[in-house]
Amino acid sequence: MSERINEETIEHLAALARIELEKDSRKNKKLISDLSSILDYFEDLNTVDTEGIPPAVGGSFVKDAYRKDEVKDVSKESLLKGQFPNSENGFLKIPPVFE
Amino acid sequence: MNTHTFTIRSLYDGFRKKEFSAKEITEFFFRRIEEKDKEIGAYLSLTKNHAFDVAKRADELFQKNTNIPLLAGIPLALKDNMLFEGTKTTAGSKILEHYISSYDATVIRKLKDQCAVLLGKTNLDEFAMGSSTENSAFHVTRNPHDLSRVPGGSSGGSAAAVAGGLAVASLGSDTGGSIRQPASLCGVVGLKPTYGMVSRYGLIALASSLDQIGPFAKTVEDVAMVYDAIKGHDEHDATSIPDEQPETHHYDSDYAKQLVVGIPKEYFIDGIEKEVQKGVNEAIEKFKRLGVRFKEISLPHTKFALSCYYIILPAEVSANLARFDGIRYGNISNLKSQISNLKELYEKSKGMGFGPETKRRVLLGTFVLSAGYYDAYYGKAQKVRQLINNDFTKVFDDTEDGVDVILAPTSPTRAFKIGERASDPLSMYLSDIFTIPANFAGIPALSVPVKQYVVGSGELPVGFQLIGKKMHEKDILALGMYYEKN
Repeated sequence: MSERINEETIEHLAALARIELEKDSRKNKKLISDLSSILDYFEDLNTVDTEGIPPAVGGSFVKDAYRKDEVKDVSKESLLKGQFPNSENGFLKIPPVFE
Repeated sequence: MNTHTFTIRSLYDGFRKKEFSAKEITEFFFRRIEEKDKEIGAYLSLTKNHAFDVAKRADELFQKNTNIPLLAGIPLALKDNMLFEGTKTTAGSKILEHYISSYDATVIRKLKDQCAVLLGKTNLDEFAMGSSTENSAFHVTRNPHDLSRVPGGSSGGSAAAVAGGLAVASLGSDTGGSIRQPASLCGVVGLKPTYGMVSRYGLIALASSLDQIGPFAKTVEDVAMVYDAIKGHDEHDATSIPDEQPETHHYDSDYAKQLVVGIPKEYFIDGIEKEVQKGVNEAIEKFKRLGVRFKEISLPHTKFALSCYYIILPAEVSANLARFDGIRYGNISNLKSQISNLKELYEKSKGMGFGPETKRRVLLGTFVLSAGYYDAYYGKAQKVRQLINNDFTKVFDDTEDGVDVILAPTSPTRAFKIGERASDPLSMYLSDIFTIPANFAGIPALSVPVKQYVVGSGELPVGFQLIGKKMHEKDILALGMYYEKN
């Protein structure tokens, strides 16, 4: 079983990804063991010789895509603003960024 | 009337001959959804007001009888990860439970332009991550052929809606097989087009280098008709291919017959369910009887596609899902008392809003991109992805040695039981083993049922895949039509 993922790494990853983990330690143990077996599965890639092979980039067949830089209405303002969970005078309200 | 026998072609002819109106057909489908969807669970929400408005407009078009688009009045369903202005789009996630789309995805605008009747939004694995639709935050979807089994995923709702006669056709999205695998498990046809042929503007992104929107229907001809309606260049999607492509839905048996089909030995491995093997062999035999030529080919890096995918996909997911931070939409109002700063808002929104599989993949993606592991995982996977792409380039060579189309099984098994693979993510991931390579290479692939499967017969469907060259949808659709019409 892979040793790369343990309780400490999972907390670090969750902090990087800004996800609060469950308080239930059993569920987190299962998460660690699932991730470890997935990483073990990836070991087969080490048997492939990739010497001199450039990494694939994206999936696009288009080289450059340009369009005119014009202002267009794509969304209804009321529908966009109507989603705000918290607002004041039509502005989005969030907790302080700098404290 | 029996919704199972309706096709786009038969409805269009019926509308023209005034055998029934679009309004009557729309009423009929909503009644059927009311009766049957309690047990199938294909839909997450219905868009009745829109549907009846458009049905009325379609009937007016048929009254005037001029320039009627092929999809006018046709009842369609949409996977709930495509934005449809003014309606709920959840992506199967709690974090978007109350989200109302503020604009139309390009595919939806195109369907509206055709006066297609959009019945509602279908269930999916959360953010399209899964192969069974069990990862939806809202409910499971059942396979109409056996209600104790999954419809496949992630576009399981769209596949089940067509198989169960709850829509004539539908749209799904395919990142690693999410259209083709559920099509195979539900006994319907599903197409993943060439990357860039259908605009992804307004599709909630999963893995941007792999995602593609495509249609489901009961016949290849219907799938081609929907594909023709939704394809084409869109300036809102930077990966959208500007080249025009001719219509694909016109049946041409002479064209189909001259195509050379390759059988890759790496797709016929131990571990395939024997009924799948038997079904795919039957399909090959039928093609041979119809005069299609076959060649044995090799795609040597196929077996590494799964590992590559579950590195590259989570990596892209971890970036794409970062935007769901709970600020512009979400449940912040319920959390107000517990939150003192921005970081807590992000962490609580994502912690409460994302389901277990989504969290698993975001964390996995964060890991494979993190300092110290990037080269070993993500870098390595992208190099192997290149080798997988090179395999296709080689067999699709334009010289005499090359083939035009590849035939392979779509899924290694038929529909599995609900709950059977839910606790073991790796066993679930193996469902995608034959569908992933086409997404890596960006090439089109079509899943076709081996035969017509009747709901209620007790038989579980098997599908096969026709994989084509880049932008050669015409080849796989022509072969598929040749198969189903003979």
